[in-house]
Amino acid sequence: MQDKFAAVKEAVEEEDVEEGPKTNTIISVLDRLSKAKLPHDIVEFIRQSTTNYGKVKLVLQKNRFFVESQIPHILKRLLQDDVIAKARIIREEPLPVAMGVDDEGLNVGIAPAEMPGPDRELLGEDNLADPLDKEIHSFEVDPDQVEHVKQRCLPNELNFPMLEEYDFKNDTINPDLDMEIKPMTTVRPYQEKSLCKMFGNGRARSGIIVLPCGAGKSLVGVSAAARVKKSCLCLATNSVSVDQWRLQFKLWSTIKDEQIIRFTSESKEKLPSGPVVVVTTFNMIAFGGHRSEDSEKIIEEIRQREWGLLLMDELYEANWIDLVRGGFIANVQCAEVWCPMTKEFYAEYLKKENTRKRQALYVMNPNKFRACEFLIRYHEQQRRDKIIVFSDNIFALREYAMKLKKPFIYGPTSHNERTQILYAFKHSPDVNTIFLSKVGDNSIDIPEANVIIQISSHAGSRRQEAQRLGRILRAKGKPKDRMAGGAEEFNAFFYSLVSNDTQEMYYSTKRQQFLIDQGYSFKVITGLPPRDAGQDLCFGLREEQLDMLRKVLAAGEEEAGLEKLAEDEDDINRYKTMAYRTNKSMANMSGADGMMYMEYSTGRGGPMKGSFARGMGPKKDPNRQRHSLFKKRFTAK
Amino acid sequence: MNFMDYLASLPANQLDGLYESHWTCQAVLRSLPPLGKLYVLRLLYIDQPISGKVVSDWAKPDALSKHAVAVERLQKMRVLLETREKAGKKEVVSCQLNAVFQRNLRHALSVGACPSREPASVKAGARMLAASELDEYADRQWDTVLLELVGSGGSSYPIVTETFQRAGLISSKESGGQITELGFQFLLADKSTQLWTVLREYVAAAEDRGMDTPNLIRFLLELGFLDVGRPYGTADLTSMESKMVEELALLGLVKLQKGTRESWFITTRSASSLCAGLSAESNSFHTIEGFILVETNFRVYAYTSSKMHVEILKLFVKVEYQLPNLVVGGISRESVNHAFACGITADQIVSYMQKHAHPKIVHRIPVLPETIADQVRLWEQDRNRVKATSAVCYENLPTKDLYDAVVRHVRSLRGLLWEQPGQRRLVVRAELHEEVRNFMRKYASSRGQ
Amino acid sequence: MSISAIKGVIIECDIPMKQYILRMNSEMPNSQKFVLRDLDDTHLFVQANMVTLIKRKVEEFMESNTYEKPM
Repeated sequence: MQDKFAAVKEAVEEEDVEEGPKTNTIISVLDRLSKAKLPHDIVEFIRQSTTNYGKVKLVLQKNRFFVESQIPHILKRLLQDDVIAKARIIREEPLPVAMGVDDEGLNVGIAPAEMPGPDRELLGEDNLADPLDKEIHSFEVDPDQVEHVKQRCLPNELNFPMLEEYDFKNDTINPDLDMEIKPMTTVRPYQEKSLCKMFGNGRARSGIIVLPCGAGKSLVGVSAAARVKKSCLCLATNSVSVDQWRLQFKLWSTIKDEQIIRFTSESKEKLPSGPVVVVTTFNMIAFGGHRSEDSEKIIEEIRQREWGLLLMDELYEANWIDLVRGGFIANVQCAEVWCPMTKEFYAEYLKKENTRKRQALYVMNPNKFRACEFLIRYHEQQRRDKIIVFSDNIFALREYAMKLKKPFIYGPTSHNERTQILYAFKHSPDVNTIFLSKVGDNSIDIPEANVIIQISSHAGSRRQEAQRLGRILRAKGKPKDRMAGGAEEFNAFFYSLVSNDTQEMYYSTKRQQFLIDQGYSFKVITGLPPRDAGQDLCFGLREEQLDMLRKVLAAGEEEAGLEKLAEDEDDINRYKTMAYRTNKSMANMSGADGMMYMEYSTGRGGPMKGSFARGMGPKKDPNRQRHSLFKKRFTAK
Repeated sequence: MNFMDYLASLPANQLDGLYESHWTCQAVLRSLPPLGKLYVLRLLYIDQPISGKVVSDWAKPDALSKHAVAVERLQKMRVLLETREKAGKKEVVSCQLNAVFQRNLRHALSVGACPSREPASVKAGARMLAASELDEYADRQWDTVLLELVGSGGSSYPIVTETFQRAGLISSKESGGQITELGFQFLLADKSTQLWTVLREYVAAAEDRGMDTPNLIRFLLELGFLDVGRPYGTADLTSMESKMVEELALLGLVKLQKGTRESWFITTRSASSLCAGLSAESNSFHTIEGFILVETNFRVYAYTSSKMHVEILKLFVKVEYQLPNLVVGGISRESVNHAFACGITADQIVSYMQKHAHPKIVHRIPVLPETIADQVRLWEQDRNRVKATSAVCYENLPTKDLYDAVVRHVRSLRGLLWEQPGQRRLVVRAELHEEVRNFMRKYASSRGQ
Repeated sequence: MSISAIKGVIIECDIPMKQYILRMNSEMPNSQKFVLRDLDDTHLFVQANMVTLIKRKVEEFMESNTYEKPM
């Protein structure tokens, strides 16, 4: 039960820390979810740890910092602290927004009204904020001392952790960026929800927006920039992703070409003097080594500017079940295809002297190749799908792609060629399959893909998994077919090809766990290609297989190994820092994750819990509309 | 196998003996497929044999297979007897109802159709029980029996322990009296199968215990005709019947009620199901509601407060939380491997989860997520990847003739494990070594002549 | 040549598994080599007293290729 408690607590706190003191909300939600009465000491613990949250805010107004609270005596208490008292600035001139000064010398004004977000209804009437205007007290602090003040307010010191807000509307000092969201753009409900959290009271709060890949984070980002209308620094994971963001800005908003610039190792555009959106990578900003002259100039400019908004495109795990149910994103069938090793490949694999070539051996396993070829053929010919094949192993990437005569993109592929291949994949009916190395993991936006085949993957990395799944999460087909109970059982497919009895199997069982935790139904497929379909596939002959084996063994270790990208190191470090985040959600703790039921049809309609929603409607043949590969393999004896 | 199959397997004279009781006749009649019932009634008042052709003409062209099934069943139960006579070159087939069966069924229909026992009057102090109360009692008794099986292997009642032993559910006393592989499989079976397994052994044991088997079966079948929930006085029972009632109460087939001077017994649905639902098609008298929810993330939620259910689940589920009415756990490779080690098969695990699916999900197709069923089976396959058999490898057989003869011979004994005609090499089960040696010697000497 | 009869255990398994067992055999010291006859892709004839060891090693190997989620 400890786990469950932690999950509930986290879920509720995550919502509340950013919005202010809702100790009672936490307790009442917990109480509602708990089977038994809440123990007194837990209630007490929550009170102690949360009562002071959000009572104090640090507000940025017209380039000046104010410590703000509705409770004047808290401010007085803070001012008794030496560090804070010294940081305080008392001015003679009139104050922004402030209406007056109270007896204690604190500024007094009216708190900005909180906009009711879509979440409110969940919390019940009692918890709604008092609609009356609230008096608000504040004092100004020295911008240079802000970090020290924040430090002093942390839980282990004065214990009044501060929420930070930026009053961009009243920022008359930094010039406005002329950009609006295009009138035709529709913001989806969950995107609106994210924006509400950010701009709930007309000020900008910093925060993390967690949306799954493919759910339209970029639109949320662009909308945020259009709302703040100040210079914006947008950090992406790599240069392809930078191009993508720039496109998204131009797609969704009215921003002028000269106001959005890229700063990557390939394109170093000059910053205009006015307000601007700069899109760059984490690496470009954080780079510690020697920079070129151009770079140095630009980075200096970036340092000097006042930025109204910092967008950081990151990847987090999220529970995207709700999005699937709404038909916004695709309903994915995840499958693991088990490929037995061939005799000769396995004999080599087991040899001690080949330890370093193991990966190449299990990825190049002819049985795996044939399974891959079969799947590509099946999806291209029978379903007219768009397919991306991922491989971290570049040796395999090249061999597979060349043997199957498909275009491929990896590290050394020039920017131009990448763009060309992606364009052809998007628009040409003749290019339906592309091979991508790890470079494809981040932001190459390929909405048409609805099949992913993974022939080798990086040691069971969940992040990679999330990214790749994201490639196919964008909904395809007619919305009515996609909705719960619609005609299509699955409209996207995610295959992991795994060679049995190898290390890969270990990684795969680990990865499987991640997908399962996310609520994805997971299916193991054996026996691909089917016996009757194998004749015209490659590597049907033993000789052919042995040729390939010789080639694998002759390849240098470097060549046969993983691709090392320049950005990799940073990647890994970042991944570590986010690893503390738990991937457990309320839904999967309680067993209410809806997607878990997606494989079934129920014979009964009627209002059931959301979790049973998928597949409701008239009784249907479970095999109808079903991908033939997923038809029942086992029949009861 | 059910009660009727058991009866059918008895020697002819014993079965005919049982037909001396109209209860047996009625129970058998009930168990027949619809066409079978019809044929019995058609023949009931015909005293001479009729031509086999007449019977086969009854079949509608589109129901030939049903006809065949019905006739086969009738013959198996020795209700319909067939005689074949040679008349010249032709063979004449004639049919007749089993005379004993015919006589007693006629009697039952015309004279003795009403139950032989009258329910006790309420005034005497006997109490009628509601179906729900009785079901609960029956389930509880049965759970107790099963729990004893899981727990110590034995029961505090020698007759139950003995029956378990006879059924092979626990090992003999000498070898520790522990639950066996069969015992674990038994736990996962549905209740009607369980009940029948135990009763069959109970019946089989009767003779050893000096009980009159035909009468015991007759009484068992009669119990099925009594009104469920009504008390019947024990005063009318023979001494053997009284003993049976006490023993069957342990299994939850009957409930005993004691007054100040008299006592009564009440049959439960477990008893009535024995005959009522005995036709092969319907052995699902499920009194227990399903309680298991399995999700594609391998989590199991079992809404039950039965200790027995928890014990069974623990065989293949790793239980994480246990609340008064809910058990939460997960299915993993490790947890099912534990079950496999106990001798339980993947199919049994799958079918248990299907059969006990929570009412909320029984309408799903399939009831158990396919991924789960597949995975459990894949795990089982994993355990059986290496098959080892003690054997002898024969090489250098001098002639092809000898080689072929040996291969043929060994194959006929189902002992050939592997062969390689080109090299004249074969591998044979170890236990056949002597046999093969003798065969080769004989072969050589016969050729040598 | 006279007929020879060798006592032992026949092992039947899939193709990769046979390769694994062969590998195991080749890594054994000479005195403990257990494969008596390499019959075909899916069959081996081995010394009876080594079967338990083979089975245990196979199980360990399969275990090493499986990730168990810590519960």
